[in-house]
Amino acid sequence: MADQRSVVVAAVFAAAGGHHHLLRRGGALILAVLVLIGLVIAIRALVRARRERGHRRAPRHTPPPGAASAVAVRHLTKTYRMGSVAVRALDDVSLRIPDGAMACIMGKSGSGKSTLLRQLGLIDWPSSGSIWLYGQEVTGSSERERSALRLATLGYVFQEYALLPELTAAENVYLPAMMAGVPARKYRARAAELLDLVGLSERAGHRPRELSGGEQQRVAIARALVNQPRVVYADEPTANLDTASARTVMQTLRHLNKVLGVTVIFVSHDPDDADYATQLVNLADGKIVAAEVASMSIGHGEIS
Amino acid sequence: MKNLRVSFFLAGRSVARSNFGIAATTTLMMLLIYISLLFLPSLIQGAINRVDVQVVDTLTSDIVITPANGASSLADSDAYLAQIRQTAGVRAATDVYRIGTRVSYGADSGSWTVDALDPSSYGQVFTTPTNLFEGRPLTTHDTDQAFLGLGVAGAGQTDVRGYRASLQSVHAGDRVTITLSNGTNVPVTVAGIYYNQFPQSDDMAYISREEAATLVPASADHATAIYVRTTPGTSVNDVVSRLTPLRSDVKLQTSDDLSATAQDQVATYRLISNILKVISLLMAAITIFTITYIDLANKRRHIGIERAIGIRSGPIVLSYVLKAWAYAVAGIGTGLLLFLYAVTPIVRGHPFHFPNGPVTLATSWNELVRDVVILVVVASFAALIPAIRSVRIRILDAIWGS
Repeated sequence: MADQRSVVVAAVFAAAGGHHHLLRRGGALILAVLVLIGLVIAIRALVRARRERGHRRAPRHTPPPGAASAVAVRHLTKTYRMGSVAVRALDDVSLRIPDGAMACIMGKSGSGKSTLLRQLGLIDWPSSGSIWLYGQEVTGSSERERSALRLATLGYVFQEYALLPELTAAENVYLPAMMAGVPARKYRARAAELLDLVGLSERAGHRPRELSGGEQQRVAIARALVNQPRVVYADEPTANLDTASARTVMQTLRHLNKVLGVTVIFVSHDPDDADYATQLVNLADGKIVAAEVASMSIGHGEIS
Repeated sequence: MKNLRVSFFLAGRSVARSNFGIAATTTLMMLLIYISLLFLPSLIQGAINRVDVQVVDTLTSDIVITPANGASSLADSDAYLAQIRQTAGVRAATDVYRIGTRVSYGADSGSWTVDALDPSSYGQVFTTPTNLFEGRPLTTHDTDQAFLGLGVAGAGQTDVRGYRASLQSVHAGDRVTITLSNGTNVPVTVAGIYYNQFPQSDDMAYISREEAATLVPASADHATAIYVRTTPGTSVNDVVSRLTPLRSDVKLQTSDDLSATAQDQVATYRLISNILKVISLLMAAITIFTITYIDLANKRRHIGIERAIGIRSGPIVLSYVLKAWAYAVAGIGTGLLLFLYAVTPIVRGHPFHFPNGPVTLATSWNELVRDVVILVVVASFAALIPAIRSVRIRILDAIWGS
């Protein structure tokens, strides 16, 4: 009787009987597919990482004359590929900018001025040539090394302000300092000090959307200065501003250059901005065509 | 440490100041995924538990003792039963004697097991006498009385499974005929009808042992099977060890042994449950991946800016993983509360009706915690992959979108 009952118990599950081997195989198949997808992703990541390392490790160059300047570039070329067409945005550019200068790179739209600034600011990679920062070649530096340089040595002010919308003005300013490992009390004080310097201490708790274009650009300048960089790059910092705001921004940059001794290199297409510069570089078709300051030599081939 | 600080800072600000609608939708998605991850497996576990309980309560008890060596019954069963009841760990024991295999009502008849039971001890081992549908259970001195399962009597319950195979319209008080193993037909009155909501035990009929002794004198002091219920908390195997030396001509089996043939099917249920979990996890992964991917697609410029101002890739990626965690934890936490304090009580109040009876949700804290951990890990990977892909884009492309 007990045996009969066990058969009865088994009948309870009869509906599912006979399919479990199939289901087990199905489960194993799902797991196998997941593992396969994981492997493909990992292999692709490795291949890409190796390829990128190969690309970015440029050969070391011999130092150019005057390499101990704040910034020096030699035979810098940048070529973009647009489909099958190669566009040479920078063509054998060589220059050096001394420490403490306020240099303006001018030129028409498409002349290559922003491209040059991006190479100097280490946010793009040149096709050939070398870049020197305070005597150290940085052309082939790794992304990690570039991050460290962007964090500690360079400051970058974008044309479109480039503030993080979820952070307040003060938070935008002190974020790079936080990344650099500065203690919280210090970076908060430093951010307050810088916002005061650019005339925005009252707006510290406001988010970017609550600030005018000029105010946002001044917050971006304060952010660029928070880690006390030696060089600040500004890419058309007044392009999107009204005349009054543009004047304030340029005066702020000039003030920082004079008072803090920071080397400022900015790009502009507005001739009025050139008045704030101590040195001027003119670009056309990716080549330096003129310079108005005697201390800065120019040319296709060599720096004097 | 500074990387962690930046990651927490970015993730915290992003969660706190992000669009409320997006945050709420993401949390809701995680909530639904977590509940779907729990619900079906819990229901299947509830069904399995229900079967386990029904088998023990109405069919096998904890230990079944049957004659060995092909004998049809155990002799001297009264003395043996007394010894069993005195054994440590035994809460109750009862014996039955198989007396017939057929029940008829008018022109209708069918084959069902008819056992003779001792009403006073049977109710201590099985719940069947308490699961009354009509009439009353058998008492010790009942003669001319039978106790039928609803699967035998039918009782006009057309919606009960197996109704068409039953006698269909037998009610308490009706006269039915039991055909004994020796072929004798015995008319009896239906004292009561029980309904275990378990088709396998509802397809049986009983008369009292006192009645059986008059109909089949050989049944006295003999048993076809003895059922033993152990004291709660006692190891069934320990009790089997104590009972084994009492008599050598018997076979002792636990309810697990008897349902061994069902174990494979239980494993199938568990496999189905696991496959459903894998599918739910895939859904979770794809949902989180999609949400993070869209979020990152909208934030590509922000990532470019963060990298341009010197924030390294690691903290940026981690901030997105932390953000995914925040949504996962919010969704899972809410889902857990909802499951424990809303879904489970509702299903307990309105159980699902399986063929084996009402089924509620069954899960354990271990499973709940395990699912939380799995889902958080899945959320991490689902956020990690698009985040890593996004920080690999050149800064220029990220900011200016070339």
